[in-house]
Amino acid sequence: MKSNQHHALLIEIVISVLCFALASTVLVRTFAAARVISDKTARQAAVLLEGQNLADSLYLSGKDVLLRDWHWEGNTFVREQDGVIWTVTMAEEQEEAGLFRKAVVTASYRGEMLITLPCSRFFPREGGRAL
Amino acid sequence: MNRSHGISGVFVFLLLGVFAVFGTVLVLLSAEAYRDTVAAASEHNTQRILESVCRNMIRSSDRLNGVFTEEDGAVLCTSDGDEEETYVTGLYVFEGKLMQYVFEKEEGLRKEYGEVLCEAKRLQAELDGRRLTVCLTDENGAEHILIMALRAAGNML
Repeated sequence: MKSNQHHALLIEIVISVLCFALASTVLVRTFAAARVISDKTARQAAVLLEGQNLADSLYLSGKDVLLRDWHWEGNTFVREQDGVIWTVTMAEEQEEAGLFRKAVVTASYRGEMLITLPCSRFFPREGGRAL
Repeated sequence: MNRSHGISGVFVFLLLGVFAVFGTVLVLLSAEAYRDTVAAASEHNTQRILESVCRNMIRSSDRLNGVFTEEDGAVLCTSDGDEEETYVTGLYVFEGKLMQYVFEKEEGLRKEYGEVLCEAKRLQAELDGRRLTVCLTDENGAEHILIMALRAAGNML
C-alpha cells in the first residue's frame, strides 16, 4: 500500500515536471521572439532616421555628402554600417527649364530591404531660384 | 526494504531539488530578457519621438524665419502667426525631460509650463542656413541626430 502511494507521488512529480517543462519551452520561445521583434523594430526605426538624414543632406549638398566613407560600385554609391548596406543611386536630367537631380536611398539588412527613400531637387535655369 | 525506501526518498527530494533549481534559473533568465527588451524599446521610443515631433514641427513652419534657435541652440523654436500676434513653439530639455511649450512671443518662454514628451538629458540644435541639425541625448546617454533641409530660406537673419 505504502509502495503504491510512493509510486503515485513519484508519478505526480514527474507529470508536474513535464508540464513545467512544456510551459517553460513556450515561455522561452515567446521571450526570444519578443526580443527578435524588438531588435528588428529598433533597427528599422534607426535606419529610417538615418535614411531621412541622408536624403535631406543629399538635397542640400548633393554628391559631396558621399565623398567620405562611401565607395563607388557600378552606378551607385555603397556603404556598410553595422550590418546595414546603404546604396545611393543618383541621376540628373537636363530639362529646358533647368536641371532635375534625383537620388534614391536604399537600406538592406541580410538581404531584406528595409527602406527606399526617393529624394529630388530642381534647379531652374539662370535667373530663377533653386527650389 | 528500509534501505530501498530511503533511496527512493532521496531520489524524490533530488528530483524536486532539480525542478526548483531549473525553475529559479528560468525565472531569472526570463526576467533578464524582459528587462533588456524593455530597455531597448525605451531607447527606440525616444528616437521615434524625436524624429516624429521634430520633423512635423519643422515642416509645418518651414518658411522664411519660421525656424530659429535660442539659448545657443538649447531651445528649438518655430513661429506661427502674423505681425500682430505671433505664437512660438519651443522644444527643449528641462529637468531631465524633453518638453514642448507653445507661447505668445511677447510672453517669453516659461520652461516649467511645458508638456513632457519623454526623458532626455540634453538637446542641441544648430541652424546653418538651410541645414538644421538637432542632437538629442536620451536618458541613457545615447545621442540621436536629426538632419533636415529647410525648403524655405531658413534663418536669413
